[in-house]
Amino acid sequence: MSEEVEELKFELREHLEDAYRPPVSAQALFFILAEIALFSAIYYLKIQMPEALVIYLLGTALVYPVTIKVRNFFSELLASFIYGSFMAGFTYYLIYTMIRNPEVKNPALWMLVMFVLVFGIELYHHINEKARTLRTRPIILIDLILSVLFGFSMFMLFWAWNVSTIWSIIMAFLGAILYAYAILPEKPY
Amino acid sequence: MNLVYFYIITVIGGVIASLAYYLVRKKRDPIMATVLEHLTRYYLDERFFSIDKVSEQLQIPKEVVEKAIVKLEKSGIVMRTKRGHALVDPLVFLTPRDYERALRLTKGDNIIYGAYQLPYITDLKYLSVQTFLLLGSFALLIATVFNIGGINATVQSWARGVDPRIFALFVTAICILLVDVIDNLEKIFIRGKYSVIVGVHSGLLYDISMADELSGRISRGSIVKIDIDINWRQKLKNIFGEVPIGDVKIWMRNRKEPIVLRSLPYPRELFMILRSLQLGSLEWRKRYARELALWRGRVYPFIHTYRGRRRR
Repeated sequence: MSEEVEELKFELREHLEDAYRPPVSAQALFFILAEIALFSAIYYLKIQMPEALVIYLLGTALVYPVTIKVRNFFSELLASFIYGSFMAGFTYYLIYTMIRNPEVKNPALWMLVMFVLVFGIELYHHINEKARTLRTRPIILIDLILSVLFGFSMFMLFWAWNVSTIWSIIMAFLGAILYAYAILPEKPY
Repeated sequence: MNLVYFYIITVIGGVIASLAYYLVRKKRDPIMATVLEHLTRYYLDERFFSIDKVSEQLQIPKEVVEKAIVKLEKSGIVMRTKRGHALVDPLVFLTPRDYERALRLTKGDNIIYGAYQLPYITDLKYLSVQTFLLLGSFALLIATVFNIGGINATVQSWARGVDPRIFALFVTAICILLVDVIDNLEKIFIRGKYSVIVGVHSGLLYDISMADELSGRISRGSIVKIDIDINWRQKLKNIFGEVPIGDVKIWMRNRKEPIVLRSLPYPRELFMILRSLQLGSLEWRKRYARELALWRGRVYPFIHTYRGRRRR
């Protein structure tokens, strides 16, 4: 099936989906209530900056696609903004607070790289339905590049732990396959 | 940590992601979008249309409409027949391989609905495995952050000296991956066992076991009654989840118990299709004009408790 067919069929199904979803006003209400609850929890637990902002952005990134089912330019643009700001802030936070010795032989660095690769793509799939379901060429290409990066990070992790090269390669290969299989776009039905 | 830098980086990340979205999003052809919008609004019910008529209704030059429809035809969205053009049914959710199989087994029938039952999608046992993996790894992360019960020493020994919080993040990542892999494996299993198709002439066909060839059959004439059943888990999934799902029950002649097709995508549309087959007429939109108007008006048409209630 061509990419164009996939795109157009996606639009057709969006029309059909509307009958099952709550009205836009109710979707907005659910989102606002969730945001207030999230903000209140952070305030009540007296979480300080920058952790408070990281948790708030993570909560928003998780809640937004679950509550807001309207798909238009502005809703998708806002989703991209939430995703980008969370990933940038979170990655900076992780690097700054957790890596005291950022050298290649440090296994913690590679564990964090792998975490960011997994969490970043899974959160992106959560926030962008098309990336999760449509097998277009650019999406598949990006997924393959990320899988290679994941495999390389796994190899470096085992290498940093002084595991033999053969075992490191085998484990990295298996890890990359597992990662690729998990993140390749898949229809939800 | 310099908080100002942190805020600036956070905002820059958001701006870059928004710009990337703006730049890579597909530019829609406005004419094509208008034509498609018109077709889905007025010709979703297997009615035929002509280029002249669409051109007249939209007040767009015939050549421009023809170009857009030819493009849609090449994409497989629109089909040209002897009686005119028709919109191909968008309610076919099968993989191309399974769609071909359905065509082969129905001897080229017009497939108006095709999907897989998703019985595990709201199954508590299946959900609990996923929840256990996610919550378990999250609990480990919280335990290492607050060093609950001195867990950090143990975790550090497992992780060959790596910071326990980082190791916990790594475990969380692996658990997320495993949840996704389990989900994909489940879909493979479902696609092998739970196909359901509806053909205009062949009626409803469904798989009854693994590697089955749609041996479950309900012919058009044997349908007595149809009902939709959406339980609370499915209802929640319909509001917050990806694909709307519900159970469809079909009573047949000379059979007391209904056949239950579990967690099918777009159950109301399947209901309407089956009802049209039961009536032996695919012109059900004319017969059910009121319900269809309600449906188009974003009202749940076939759940009695909702009937007549305006949602928008």
